[in-house]
Amino acid sequence: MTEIKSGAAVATSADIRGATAMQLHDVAVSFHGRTAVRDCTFDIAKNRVTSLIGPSGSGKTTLLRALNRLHDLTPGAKVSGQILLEGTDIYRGDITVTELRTRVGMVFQRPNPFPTMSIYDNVVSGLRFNGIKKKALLDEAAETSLRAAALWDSVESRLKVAASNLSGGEQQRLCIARALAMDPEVLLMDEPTSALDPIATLRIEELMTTLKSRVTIIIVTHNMQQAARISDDCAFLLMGEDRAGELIEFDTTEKIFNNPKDSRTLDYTLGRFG
Amino acid sequence: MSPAGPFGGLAMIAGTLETSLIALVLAVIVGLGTSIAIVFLIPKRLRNVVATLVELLAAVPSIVYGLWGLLILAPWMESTVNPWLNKWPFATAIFGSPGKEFGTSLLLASIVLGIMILPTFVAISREVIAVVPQDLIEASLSLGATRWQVIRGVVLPTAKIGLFGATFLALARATGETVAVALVAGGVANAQFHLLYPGTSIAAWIALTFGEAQGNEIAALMALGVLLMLLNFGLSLVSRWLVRRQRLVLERV
Amino acid sequence: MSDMTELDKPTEVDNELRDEIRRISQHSRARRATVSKVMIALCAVALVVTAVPLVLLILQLLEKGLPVIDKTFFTTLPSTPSLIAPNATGGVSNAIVGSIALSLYASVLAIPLGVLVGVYLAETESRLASSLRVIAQTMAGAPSILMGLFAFSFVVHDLNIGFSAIAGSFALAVLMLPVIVISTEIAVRSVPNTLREAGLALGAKSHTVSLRVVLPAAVSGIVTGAILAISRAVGETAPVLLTIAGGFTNAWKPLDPVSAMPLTIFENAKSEWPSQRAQVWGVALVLVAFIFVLSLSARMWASRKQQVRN
Repeated sequence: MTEIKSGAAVATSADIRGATAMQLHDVAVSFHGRTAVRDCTFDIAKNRVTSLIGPSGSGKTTLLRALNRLHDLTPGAKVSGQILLEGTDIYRGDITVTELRTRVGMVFQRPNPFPTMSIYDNVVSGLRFNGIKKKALLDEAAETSLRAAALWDSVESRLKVAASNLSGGEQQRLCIARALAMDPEVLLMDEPTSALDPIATLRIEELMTTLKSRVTIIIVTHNMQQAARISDDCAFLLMGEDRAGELIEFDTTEKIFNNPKDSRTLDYTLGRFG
Repeated sequence: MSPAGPFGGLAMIAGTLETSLIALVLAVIVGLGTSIAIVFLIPKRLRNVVATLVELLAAVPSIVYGLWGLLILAPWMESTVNPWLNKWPFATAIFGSPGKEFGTSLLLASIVLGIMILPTFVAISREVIAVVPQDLIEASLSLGATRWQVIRGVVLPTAKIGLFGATFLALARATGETVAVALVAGGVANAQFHLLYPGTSIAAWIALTFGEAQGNEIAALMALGVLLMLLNFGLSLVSRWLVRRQRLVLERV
Repeated sequence: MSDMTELDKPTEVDNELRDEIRRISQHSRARRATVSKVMIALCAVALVVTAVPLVLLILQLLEKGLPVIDKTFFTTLPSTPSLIAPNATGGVSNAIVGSIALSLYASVLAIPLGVLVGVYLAETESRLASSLRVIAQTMAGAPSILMGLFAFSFVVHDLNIGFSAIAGSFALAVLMLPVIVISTEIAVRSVPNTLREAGLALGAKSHTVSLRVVLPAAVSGIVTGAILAISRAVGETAPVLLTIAGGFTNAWKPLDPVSAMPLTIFENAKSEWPSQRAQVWGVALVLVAFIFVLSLSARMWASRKQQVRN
């Protein structure tokens, strides 16, 4: 198990995958001293989809939320180890969290457009938070990101309509557009299709494969087929004896599903537990 | 205590509106900040303690607030606050001529009312703010919003209708408040509106004069009571309608 | 995937747009952080502003109330101070006896009726039920002086009973009623449906189930509501001001004019005698302590029962 997590193994796969967007080194997250996830060391390659898989309680979502410092809000939460974005530790003292979060965006489990805002206002909300007021700039960014989220054609004529009028799948794509409007380098997705029907899920999955040319995607998913279909790399986490999640194996999706190094990975991907 | 004159209701109606509205402005500004602080600044473990305290303070009877206002705040207003207020420009127009003002005044009544309706307003607005879904807050943080931008841009707009409901409920409380105003407003039914002069409200006037009222005066006071009732029921209907609509907004989220 | 032509095109980043956005957001970052800190600090200040008068009120109540409370405070009747004996205030036994009598009569009037109406609202869906509910909700927020006016014109005047404990407790009962109705309805509605169905399955009639099965299961919520209603009524001044006339005896019978703690405070707060004004703090302290004990015990009762159920 140790050699799987060793630097050498990671370096090899990084070579195959090209440039690195984020690097995790011995990352652990704890709440009030109780470890939720630990021993996470792997690189996230640029312009690829990396999926975090594992059964409930393995700390996938906890780990994901550490990547844009969303745990800063939670009292008693502590992140140790190193998380590098373009070579800079995002937990370093002089990092501005608000800036970090414009570079590492997030899409949530439940489609959560701001209920009091129109479609347009939702898309440009990030820009407005960040002090951008110029109408031309907002309009341009709104169109670009709605197009990128494959939503422009269906909402172009009703941009001023409340976002709650959209269907669940459209709302989730609106949330993706909202996150894309800031042009983040990395997009975190926390089970983005778990609240959607199969057709809407398929649309989001297709969207992810086209989006990776402009943004690195890290997705948490419960759905093995989804991970196999859309991700290029895969991190498998599992809850240890001390009830803390830990990284079991990280590799290309192809290897994780067809030729894993750890027998537990095979058991999980074959649906023997979890 | 001066007599009600020809049973004119103007002074009482104006006094009611004046004191209630000033109290409302004070309570909403301070109360909104307080609710935000309770929900976003206070650690979760302490939040229940604070909530219990707020509820206990809402349970303090109005007569006790009135007593406190009369015996402690009024002398302090007279010796310290009133002379200080009178130094400001336009003070005479707003507060009345220096030397003619009292410790018990419309302003003191407004302040005491404000303190009294604060727990009511905070109890509801705190709840309305606390039920704004966490994932909306996280979504805005993930877009690079500062904490205040999250509150200003997402939390308050989402809770807006419920906050209006809390405001109307607080206003209904303020307009119906009786004995505290009877003790601290000065109990004079003059149709003048300088804040540091004594005044009265509909409810306070009924409480102060009912004991000695005869014949027509009783009828006049009853009429004032009906007016108060209509005002109060109207405000409380609007308030409940707003709180119901807030629930619908959150269901759609 | 071949039919998804729009999606198939890889989306390219518009570098110019991205740079412009990054530049502006970088430029405004320090200012936004400052605004946020200032506003959050102001909210903390608001919390302090809320707390200060309320803490002061409680502290001053203790500071001024405790010294005037002794045995005679509870056991003797009031007397009027004079120039010869300026400190001869006596006690306030009349107010305490009167307040207890008023709460008792008001509870007898309001609790059974309120519970029945509450159960009815919870167990039936009818136009009558929903209009009763709206009336209860509106009355719950109505100014208490209106209850006084109502009790005066109905009990004191129309029924010609005169100023009396029963007139005062009628006013207080009207005040308590909506609180009891609403809390009973909530308590009954929170009784699990399986319990109801079990009763019906045994062949009981639906109103028998309501009274024999549902009501006992909801009793803790109903008690909590009733205690809160009493704690609210006992501190009310305006309704009793217009109905009980007050008096310097330990009268307690329903048809007697009685005194009450809030009434004593209202009348003596403006007394010309410093000794009487000082004594009022004691009455206020006893009243507030009584109310706090009632509402805290109601709260604890409610949360204890909740834990048992969970």
